[in-house]
Amino acid sequence: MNAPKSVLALVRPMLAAMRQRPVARTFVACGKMQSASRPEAPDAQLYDVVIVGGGAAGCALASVLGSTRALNRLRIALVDPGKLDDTREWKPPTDTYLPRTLQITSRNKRYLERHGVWGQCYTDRVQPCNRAVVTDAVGRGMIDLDASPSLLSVNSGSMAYMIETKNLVSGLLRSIHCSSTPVDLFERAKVVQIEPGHSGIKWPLLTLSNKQSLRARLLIGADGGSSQVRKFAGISTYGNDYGQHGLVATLCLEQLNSAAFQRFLPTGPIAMLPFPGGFANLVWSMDQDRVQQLKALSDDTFVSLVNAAFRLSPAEMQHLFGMVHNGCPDRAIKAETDWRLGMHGNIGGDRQLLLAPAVAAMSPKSRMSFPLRMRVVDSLVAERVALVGDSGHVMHPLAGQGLNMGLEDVQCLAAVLEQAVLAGQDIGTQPVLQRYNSQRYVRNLAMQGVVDKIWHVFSSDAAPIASVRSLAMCGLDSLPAVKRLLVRQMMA
Amino acid sequence: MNTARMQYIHERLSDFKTPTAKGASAVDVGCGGGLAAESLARMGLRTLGVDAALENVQVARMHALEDAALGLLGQLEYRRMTAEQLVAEGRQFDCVVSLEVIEHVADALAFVRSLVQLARPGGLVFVSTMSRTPAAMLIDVVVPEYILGTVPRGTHDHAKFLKPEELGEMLAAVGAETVDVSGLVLEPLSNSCHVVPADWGLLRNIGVQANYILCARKRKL
Repeated sequence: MNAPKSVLALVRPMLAAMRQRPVARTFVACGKMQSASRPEAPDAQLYDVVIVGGGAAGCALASVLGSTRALNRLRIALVDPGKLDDTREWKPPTDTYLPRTLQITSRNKRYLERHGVWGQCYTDRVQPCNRAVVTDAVGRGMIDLDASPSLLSVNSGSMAYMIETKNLVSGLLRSIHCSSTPVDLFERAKVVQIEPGHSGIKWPLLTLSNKQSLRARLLIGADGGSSQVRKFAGISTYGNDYGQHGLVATLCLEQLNSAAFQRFLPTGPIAMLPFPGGFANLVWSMDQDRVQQLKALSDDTFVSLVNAAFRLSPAEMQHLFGMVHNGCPDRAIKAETDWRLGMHGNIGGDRQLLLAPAVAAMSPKSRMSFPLRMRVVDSLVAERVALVGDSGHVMHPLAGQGLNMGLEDVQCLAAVLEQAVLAGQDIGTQPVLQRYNSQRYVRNLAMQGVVDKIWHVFSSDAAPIASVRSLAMCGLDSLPAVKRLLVRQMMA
Repeated sequence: MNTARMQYIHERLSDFKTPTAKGASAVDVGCGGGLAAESLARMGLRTLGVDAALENVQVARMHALEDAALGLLGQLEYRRMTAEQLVAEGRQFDCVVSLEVIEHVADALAFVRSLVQLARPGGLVFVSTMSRTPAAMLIDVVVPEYILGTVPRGTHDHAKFLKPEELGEMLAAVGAETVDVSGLVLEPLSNSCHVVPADWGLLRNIGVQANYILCARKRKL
């Protein structure tokens, strides 16, 4: 134990010298408050909260903070590189739905209603969903979660709500516009640089592309999976790329539909989410190359393949994918697909109800794709920084949880900040931020873990795994009491 | 502990409709490192923190620099002086706060008189301290000073602790009526502190057996 002691003896005076902080002492001796400027940033504006990122999570936080009475003395800023006023004035298309959508849980919808956000969205474009049918192509397992018979009361609402992302964000921006506490919007402004506070001014300094600079008591990273704020804060992130992309599109069904259907194929899950007027949103996960090939097909061929993906066996799907990969002409692929669908034919009876409704057509030019990843962080908070939304957690869309976790982050952070402001605390300090982190970190991690496990379980086409998981699904499906519990849980 | 006390103070200030955000004034007597004074300033009160020790005032001023907005609003000021010296200047405040100080002063009644003189008629006085009970002896003296060693020995003299009734009598003698007494209970598992009512059912004064905070209102003339 002697060696460490001598090292300490050497190090201690060095540490003490560093702690002297002669610069700070000078300020005290001067007895006057240093102005909030550095030579490089003469006009930095001070804000209590600076939210970087005007997506769904960032706008939700701005809206909630702006409408909470206890926080009405906070100075709040929202920074985004996009044209926020255009999004706020968005006029929805009359003949289709946008392919980027969100599924909002019942609890989050009620939260948004309470804060006057839901009413600002185009609610006629929102689809309440009370039924989800999940099937496994390999093992033939199936779960039918139907909330309609167990809706406890008229007021409990639906299990989930399907809404276009733009619809929600424009509604959020409208509610920010008329919030009781003004929120300063810095739009068309990229964050060029973030610098930490120094001994004079301890607050981080943001420099925007429009030459303005802001200082934040609390900097919120709501800027998505590749968060710049998170990088600045030095918060490590881990995760894997699934090697897959999500292919989305808007479909027109042969009938009206209000149920969600998801089928797990070995190549990745395919989901059909209901929208009003017989429209549906497709979310199909698959390898990157396949996504590019499918995007290149004609609309008709693509529609046939979608119908096939919900009906045919994995082996048949493999054959069709092979034809696409080999560059067969669209007509040939469509003919083959339609023939196989015809053979598959009418199964009839109860199983008919479990099939996703047939797709008649798709909205032209509505196919888009994005990479699928999982990202986990070390912490949701750092020195004067907090993360909400995807910046703190990215997960596979197969469970539709991404933004729901983000909205729960917003709820928790708003409550923590309200409590702190009432007690006169500095909201950027660790005692306050750790209260947020300790509540949300584990919860987010657990959800990410579950979603990731589900993906891994269903991405295998090995027979033993397939039979076990199908057994589990069917087992769960045959326990009405457990299903009712699940539904109640989702609507709580 | 500071969060719980500040929440308590904020609630009592709202009960009496003190305009915290619109220029009400506060003084923290024995401000120490400035933790409470900063919180009062952030709540919106024009706050003065006074302490007899120059070192404390210097530390408090330096800590206040961490909050870039405080100095700019002119909300917070520190001065090295005693309560009696401040009374001699004739200033009065909407809210007078003295947290964990009275157990250290030699003449408690004189100190209480100064606190009440610093309040304007109808203003609120907050005092937090420890009660002279066996429970307080254990929780506030024996455990921190002799068992855990988190507080230097001899910091607190149990004989100088005041029971809430005794403090209440002193305040009444100098013109302030007790409005509320609440206990401050530390929860070791979550390391958080809660404000609890003095009585629980039929058990009188059970909540204020150790640390407590008292709110009194100076009589209007």
